[in-house]
Amino acid sequence: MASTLGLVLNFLIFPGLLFTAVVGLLTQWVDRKVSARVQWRVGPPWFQPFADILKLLGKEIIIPEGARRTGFLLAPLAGLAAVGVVSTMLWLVNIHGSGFVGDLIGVLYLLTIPSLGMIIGASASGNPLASVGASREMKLVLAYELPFVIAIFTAVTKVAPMTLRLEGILEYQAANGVLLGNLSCIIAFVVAILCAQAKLTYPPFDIPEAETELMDGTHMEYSGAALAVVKLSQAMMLFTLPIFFITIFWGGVVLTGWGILYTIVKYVIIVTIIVLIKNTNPRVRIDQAVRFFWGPVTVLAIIGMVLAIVGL
Amino acid sequence: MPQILVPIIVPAIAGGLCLLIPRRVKGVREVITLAGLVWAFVAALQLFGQWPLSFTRDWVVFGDLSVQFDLLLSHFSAFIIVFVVLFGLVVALYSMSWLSKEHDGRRYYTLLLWTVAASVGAVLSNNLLLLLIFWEALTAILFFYVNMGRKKAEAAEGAAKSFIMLGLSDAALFLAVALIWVRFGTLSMDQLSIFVGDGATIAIYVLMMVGAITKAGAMPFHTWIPAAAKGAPTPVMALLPASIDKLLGIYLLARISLDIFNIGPAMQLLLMIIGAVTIIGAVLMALIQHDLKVLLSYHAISQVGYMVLGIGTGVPIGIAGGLFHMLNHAIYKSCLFLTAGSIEKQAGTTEISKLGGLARAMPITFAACAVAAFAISGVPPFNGFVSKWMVYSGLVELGARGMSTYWIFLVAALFGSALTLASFVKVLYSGFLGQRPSNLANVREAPWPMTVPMIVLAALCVLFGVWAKFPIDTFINPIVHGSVVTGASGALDVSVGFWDPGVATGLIILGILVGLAVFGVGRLTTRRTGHIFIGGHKPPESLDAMHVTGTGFYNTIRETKGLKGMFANAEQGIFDVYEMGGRLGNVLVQSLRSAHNGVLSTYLTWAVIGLGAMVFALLSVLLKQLVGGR
Repeated sequence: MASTLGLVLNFLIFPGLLFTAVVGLLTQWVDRKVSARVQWRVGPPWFQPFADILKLLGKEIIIPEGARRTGFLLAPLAGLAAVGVVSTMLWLVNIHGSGFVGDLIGVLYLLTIPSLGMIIGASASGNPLASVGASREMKLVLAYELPFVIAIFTAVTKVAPMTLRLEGILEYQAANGVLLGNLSCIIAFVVAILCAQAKLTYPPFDIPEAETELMDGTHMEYSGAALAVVKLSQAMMLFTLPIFFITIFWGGVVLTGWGILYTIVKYVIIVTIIVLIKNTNPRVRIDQAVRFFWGPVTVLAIIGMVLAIVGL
Repeated sequence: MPQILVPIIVPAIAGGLCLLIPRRVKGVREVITLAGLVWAFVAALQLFGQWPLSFTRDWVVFGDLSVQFDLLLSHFSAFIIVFVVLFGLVVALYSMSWLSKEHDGRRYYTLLLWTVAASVGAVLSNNLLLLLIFWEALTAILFFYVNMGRKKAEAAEGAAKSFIMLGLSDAALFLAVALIWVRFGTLSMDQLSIFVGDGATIAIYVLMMVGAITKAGAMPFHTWIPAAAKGAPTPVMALLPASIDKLLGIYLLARISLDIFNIGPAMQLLLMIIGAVTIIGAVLMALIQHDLKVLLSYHAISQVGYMVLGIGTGVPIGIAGGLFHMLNHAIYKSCLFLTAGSIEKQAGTTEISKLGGLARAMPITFAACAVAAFAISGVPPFNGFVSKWMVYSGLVELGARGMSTYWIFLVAALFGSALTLASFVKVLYSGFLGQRPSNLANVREAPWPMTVPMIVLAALCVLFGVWAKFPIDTFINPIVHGSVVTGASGALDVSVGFWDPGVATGLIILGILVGLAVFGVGRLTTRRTGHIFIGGHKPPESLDAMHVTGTGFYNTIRETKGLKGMFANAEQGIFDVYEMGGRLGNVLVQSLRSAHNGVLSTYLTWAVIGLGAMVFALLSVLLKQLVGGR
């Protein structure tokens, strides 16, 4: 019983929903600040993302006519919950060395639920532009999922003995040095970062949201608290994905002594790469994105996998 | 009557009774059907746990050749018959409301009962010849069943195609059984143990495998399922290709691959390749379909890939995953076909472009469809995720044992799962979400005999996902451990490092509750309804113009370089064994046709030439013997 309560607390406060949301929003501030500096602007103060969420919570929710109310309101919540679960899993594995479900495939599947939630929510809104966004989002998921899966399993292939357990991957790295020391895993890491860009729907892959043509596409009809939930789960994704990559490729999170600093450095490096790609690339069309991910990126991922098999 | 015969004989007799009742008498037929199936179901449940139980009678005796009516209840067959009868029962209940006056209810219920009887017989038989007879009976029943569809032309075409493809695969099975008799002298499945090594045993195994996977619908013998889907009554699709045919096909495949034959790595690799190709190929086709029933039928093919792949791994957890997927697939796919039937009944069409926004009118159908759709896509915490997870684990274990190509199969399986999800997003969007066209404004929820089966099956999807340990421990593990000798090393211990669906589900639900609390903090109570936003324009009075059909959802994928040609080829039937066989036959026939010019003298000339050739051949044989004799 105590462990159940502990797990619930883990999920709700640390390292689950609350912690992830706070750090995610702080990361979003970093993102906004860096973007502003790149564009020669000053940028917002550190509490701006929090203020935005609070403001949204105070606004009324407008439900478009012809919308499926339940699906429209519940779908983003499923995404929020899924990110929370993933974050809890990753942190518990990193801190205690064992999670309640320290499982790679579980993480992979749960990480698609936020996209799925957005698609269902946008479809339920009954807005034609939102449904175009939903269609694009699904195609984007299809596009990046292929190289993403190959990249993640490149790391699994390098681990001996091969395992789907996140603990196993961390133990291997603790004993034999980080996976990022191998050529194959460097390639896989690059592929994973590119896919993360699409997973976060950041430019150049912000195709489903496409402000200039679809007016925020999938998010279009959301307002008030529902929009706050949508924004919050995006922020949490921004925090969870780098942690996932650190766990798989880069030795995991260490919260003792110098490890804290090292972990923060790793995290900041990954976030900075993502933010820089975001700020330096214009949006591509969905067919270009599909071709990009199924073409060069998949080839790159396969090269990484083959290198891993031959032992590099 | 011995108890083991009850699930065969009771439905068979009930079917006969249904056929005897005059067409005009209403209601009695349904009562007999339900009563017979409930009786059979109770009997099947009582049989569960009583293995090994056998029943043997001499059946046909020709001199030395005696064929025995030999039934054997093993753990595996006991589990299959429970679900065969359950699906029969569920579909029968559903059909009570679904059938309209245009359908011949007498023939329908008779065929349904006989399907159940023949399937149970096939699963219980311990004699290959007996199995073959039940197997053939099912093929014949399916032919009549598909033919009952309302769209006569499509139904007849689909029925013919399924009958020919299944008939040929049955012929392959027959040939294999004959070869086994000649070579091993017995047809009792529990006495056979064949090591696949030389050419003859490989041939026997492959022939039997063709029989099994055609029934289950794996590539390249899959095309009868979409053809049948075009014409067949929808509950029939839910009963046969979606559930019972899967159970039977994969049952036979598992029996021959794990039990009767001792297959080597080469055959395992063949199975894995068939599995991976099936997963990807069929789901890509499903992505571009525009008829709900045909779309579902392609998924019925694609999912077979996971089962074949799982069994092909030869690793206990992979095999268990394959078998569990068989069960899960039967549950969610028949649920999906039932929801499609309910849409067809209530909205009058399954054409995706004509549907939309039905979620509010048909909330139960929508909920069942969404649960089953997420289950088939392997979204946690539903049952499809658990069985797919087990198959993936099996593949990773193969990789750990040094198979360097394991990742190709793994990526195919994982990516296939993403494609499945995409395809079902299209279904959910175009059927239930989006704007409702005004001609569907009066659609109502289906009556209770149709919703109850959907609810039951959807509930099973959730139960077997969240409490996956129960079905795995009760049904699957003993098969892999017990009566069936796997020939695979290593103990199956799914509890170690096993994905704990209960906890994750609990946390997700908790997360949703927290989200609802956030909504509460934000003033959910002050929500209001507004117009949809289309760039600031005022939306038109009729929202029909705002209805975006899901038909073109994945046109981008279709137009992608490399896939474009493949889709074009597939639509012309290049990958269809049936079509290609037909074309080859046509070429032969056309070339022979020119010889038939209808002129008597030409025919006479041919006859004389033929006679001459025969005489010459006979004479040369005779001469040879005379020379040899001297």
